[in-house]
Amino acid sequence: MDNGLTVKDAGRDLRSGKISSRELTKQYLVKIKESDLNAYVGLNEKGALWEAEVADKVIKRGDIHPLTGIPMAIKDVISTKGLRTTASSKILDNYIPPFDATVIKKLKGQNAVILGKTNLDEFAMGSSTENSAYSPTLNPVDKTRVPGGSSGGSAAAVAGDLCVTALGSDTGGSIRQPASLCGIYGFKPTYGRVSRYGLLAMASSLDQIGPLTKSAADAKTLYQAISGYDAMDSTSLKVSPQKARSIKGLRVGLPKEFFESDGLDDKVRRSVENGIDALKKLGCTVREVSLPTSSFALAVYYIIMPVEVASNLSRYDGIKYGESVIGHAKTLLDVYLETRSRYFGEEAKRRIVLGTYVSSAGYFDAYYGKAQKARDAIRADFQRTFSDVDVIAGPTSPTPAFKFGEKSDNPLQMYLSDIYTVPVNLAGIPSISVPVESVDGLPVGMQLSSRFDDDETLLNLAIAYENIIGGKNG
Amino acid sequence: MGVGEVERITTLAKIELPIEKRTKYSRQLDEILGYVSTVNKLISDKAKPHSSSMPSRAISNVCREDRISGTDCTVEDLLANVPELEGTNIKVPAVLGDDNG
Repeated sequence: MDNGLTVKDAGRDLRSGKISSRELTKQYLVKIKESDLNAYVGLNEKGALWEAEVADKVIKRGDIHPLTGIPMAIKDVISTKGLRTTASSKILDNYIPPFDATVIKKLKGQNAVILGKTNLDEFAMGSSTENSAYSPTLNPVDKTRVPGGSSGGSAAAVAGDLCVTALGSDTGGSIRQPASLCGIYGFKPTYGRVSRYGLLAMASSLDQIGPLTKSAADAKTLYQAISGYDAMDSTSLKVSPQKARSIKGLRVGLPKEFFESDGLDDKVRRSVENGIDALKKLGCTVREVSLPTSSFALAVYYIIMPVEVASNLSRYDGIKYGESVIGHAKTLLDVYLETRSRYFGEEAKRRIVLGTYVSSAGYFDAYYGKAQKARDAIRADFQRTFSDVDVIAGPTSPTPAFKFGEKSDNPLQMYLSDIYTVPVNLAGIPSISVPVESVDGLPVGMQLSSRFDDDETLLNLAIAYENIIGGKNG
Repeated sequence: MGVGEVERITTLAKIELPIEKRTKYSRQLDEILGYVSTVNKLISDKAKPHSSSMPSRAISNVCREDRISGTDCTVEDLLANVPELEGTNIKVPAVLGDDNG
């Protein structure tokens, strides 16, 4: 499936004058309106055309950045000043942020064009976009299947060429899993490298913003554009990033637990193994490693994440912003109860209840306290493994895209589709999903992860991989 | 987690659920809690609790002056999303009901 222009291609065409940003933006807006994918929950039609006109003037002046005039999509969980931001939740149906997220400021600083806001599972909670209050997004490769989630709108918009590139957010795999299911690149940077200021918080110790792209080279371009220290995010890293190491001779570890797990589809395993053969051709050495704690990571995640969700979502109380029943509620308690019960979706409520339970008096030590200790064990396990290898490779998701409704009534089954991506978030390390051979016409992704703060080496490896398999900018 | 326990927790979480949802959540949350209980197998006596995704070397306390910075929002901008306003005050129902005097 041809998914159109990469950032590199579009930048070349804009600089050479082959097309103007306004023309390109118009083409995308028409395509979005004609599309039945439901990738977007809101369009920035007038704003995008105005931004494109400004970008065209900037290009004429010759003051060009890599994203100048590039039409982009933004996951609707990232605040955009003056542009409705819903988190795909009814509770924020009419919320218009009074400020831009830091990543948006950075994109605007390069005169990128924001086409609109993309669909997601409500508050980024889910792996299929079926939890969106505004209907699910369809997978452009097979419309009977989910695009993955929670950044499913962004992934479908990139794979279906409804934008040049997009931003998503990743708490437990929400960039990498939809990238894998839609056949594109999805990168979760090191925790702290990209500012979370203006990202509607789900689980603050795990959330990271990152790019979904048509090429690995684009992932690096986007990462360089949005990363950097930000005083508005207290977890932002101040130290300079590590310098990239040479690709040749990189030691790649294959965790046996990833390849031996019960839920892994045989064809997906074979496809990922072929991807690993391509890494060997690049001069990487490959060996089996063991990450014994990885089998427990999903359990740890489903204690820590809901506790942070319950805390973060307590701000939606019908008082300061968002939908509210305040006009006809008798008491303050009624405002809280009725607003939250009426406007939160089912998965949001389920996670709030779960998080409240495992952190409540009497259960804290048995669940949350233990999960925090287990988190340290998971990080130590990665650290130990990274003393022997430079990169860890494996499948991004155990299966290709599944059918709508297949897992939506069984939350635990749905959670298991993030079994390989979640450990990475708990350790804070960078990780990218790159496309490997499709299985029965459905895309499959290979996940590559590296040491904390070794983002540049990882991105360079992904670019070298793309070159050898003959990807879009290969 | 019994249905009664679900009710206790939803009260804490300020969410109301109809009885059929409480029954459904009770079943689903039991399954999830059964699964997450496997963390017990991972804990050693030496393990220390950790609340961040960053290695300790990357973490430091962040303090700043108690002063607004980094935003060009006006009071009006910030109040534009408030559901009920009276002037520049955010309006809320009485915390204590009539029958509490």
